Amino acid sequence: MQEIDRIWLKYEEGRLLDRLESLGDINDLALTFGWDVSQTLALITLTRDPGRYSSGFGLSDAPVVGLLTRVAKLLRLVCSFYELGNAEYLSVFSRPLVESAVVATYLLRKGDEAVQDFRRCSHKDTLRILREHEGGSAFFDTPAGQRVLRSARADLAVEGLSKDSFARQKRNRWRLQGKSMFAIFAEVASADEYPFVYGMMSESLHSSWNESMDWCLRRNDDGTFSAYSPFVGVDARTILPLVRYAAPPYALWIDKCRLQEDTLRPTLDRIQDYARIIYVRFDELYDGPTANGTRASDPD
Amino acid sequence: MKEIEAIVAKYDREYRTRLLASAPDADRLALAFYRDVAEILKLLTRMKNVERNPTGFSIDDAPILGLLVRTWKLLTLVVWIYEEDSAEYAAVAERALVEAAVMATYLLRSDRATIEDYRRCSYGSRLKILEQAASGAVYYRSKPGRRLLRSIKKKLASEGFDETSFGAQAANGWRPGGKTFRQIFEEVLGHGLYASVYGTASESIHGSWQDVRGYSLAGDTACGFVPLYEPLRVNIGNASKIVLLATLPFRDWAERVRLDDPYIRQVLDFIDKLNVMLFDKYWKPLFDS
Repeated sequence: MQEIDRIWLKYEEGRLLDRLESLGDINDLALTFGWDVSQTLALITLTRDPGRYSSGFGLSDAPVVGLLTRVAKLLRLVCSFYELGNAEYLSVFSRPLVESAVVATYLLRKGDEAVQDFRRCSHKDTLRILREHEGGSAFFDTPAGQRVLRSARADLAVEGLSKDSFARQKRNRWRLQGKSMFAIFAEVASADEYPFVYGMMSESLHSSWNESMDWCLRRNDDGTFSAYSPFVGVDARTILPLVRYAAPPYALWIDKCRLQEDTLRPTLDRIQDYARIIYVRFDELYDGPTANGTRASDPD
Repeated sequence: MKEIEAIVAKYDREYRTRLLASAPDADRLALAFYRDVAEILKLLTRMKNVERNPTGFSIDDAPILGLLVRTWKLLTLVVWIYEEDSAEYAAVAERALVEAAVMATYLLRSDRATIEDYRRCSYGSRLKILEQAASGAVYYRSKPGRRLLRSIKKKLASEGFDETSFGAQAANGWRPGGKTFRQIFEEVLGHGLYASVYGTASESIHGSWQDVRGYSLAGDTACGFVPLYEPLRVNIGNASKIVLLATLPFRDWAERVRLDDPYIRQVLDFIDKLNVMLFDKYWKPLFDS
């Protein structure tokens, strides 16, 4: 745990949060902060109570720790694109990050039954492969097809499942406990935040005219459009809100695994506080344009 | 056009032989080829027939052009991920690229009303935001909230839309023509490819158990699972599947906007031919061995 303490010591000793004089300072610190959070989250996933987990995690915990590992890695990747100054690539991975964190929080709150359902929901394609094999698809006569078939059967066997184990998941249309992502997000975070946090983020994955206007096209004076080849840049807003969604499942994980709660929980609280402080300071100083040139201070 | 010619010129017989061989540097050359493909596609999005388009492209062409720009940008991202050897991220970018290229091809084969419907469908979350603001949600009184509202209102006004312009889209679940992406994909590419090219990649976006077990955990049920942070090697052959789809809309686009130079078709033929050779190089052994 000393590694985590060392990461955060520089914020106290260096009084980093007292030096946010300009947007440049804030945007630079946002990157340092993002790296530090991703490293801290990774270290939490690697911390284990040896008394409770003498080897690795079992099937009840592994899906959660897998999602937490994914969140830490995605945050690190997001920081890489922030450093490259590329908001477009950063956004492609922001939504998977938020989704993994929200689902991990949901699983930690709901417990083993939800975790089991989460695991089974991911076998939809495994069942499709078995179905296509039974239907006589020629693909399974090839070495590649045989490998796919062996892997699908092994996936089920290792969890003690058969093709008849999925009645509930089929009934729920392969959604976690029958819930849409909106319903899960609303339960874990807030329905009000969904459209601008997750709904618009979906455009970074799915094709959208609005996203094209923001990132891929330039509007000419006569109303026509031309290709826009440069990449849109980054600022603190592209990274700080992600921390707000990334951190909560780690707090629940620390509680569940009884991992040095007295030191790790305050660190997670501090991370959320720092994110808020840096964001508020950004908001105080920033009155820049939106993607289409308007400003918050413009008259109606 | 000279920039494209300069890129293509280096692919002489000797270079192609090295590229297709099993030499130690062949994988690196394959990635360089895909980077060149992205660059050529980028250059194509900048070309126009000045008689048809003296300044830029109209609102009927722009949604397609935006997707073509997105396609080359995402292909550049895919190459970057391959160079970093981070297999788990590749599928996320590849799926987004497939979606952009397929949607662009679908729009290129559709009428004006379909393209307008596609534009309107992108306002779903934005209308919800306007509703929340109208009902007094606090966030929209903050500076970022006000910026967001202004941006949405300005976009709506620039297209001549208002909150009442989206009845058909709301009724269709904010999907173009009420179609699922699977239906659109199969209209463009026929049946049989969806699951392998697009369906399984979805798991990489949603973070399913299979996905996290494959990419974020080491171990097994007998010994238990532990977090996995080492990057997993990418199979470069995957890029050949993606590039087959990426070039597809550029052929239709060249015809639509009358980029009449026959060299453009020759360049796209060159890309596809070399890409199919790479596809065979990387995938055939898996099927034949």
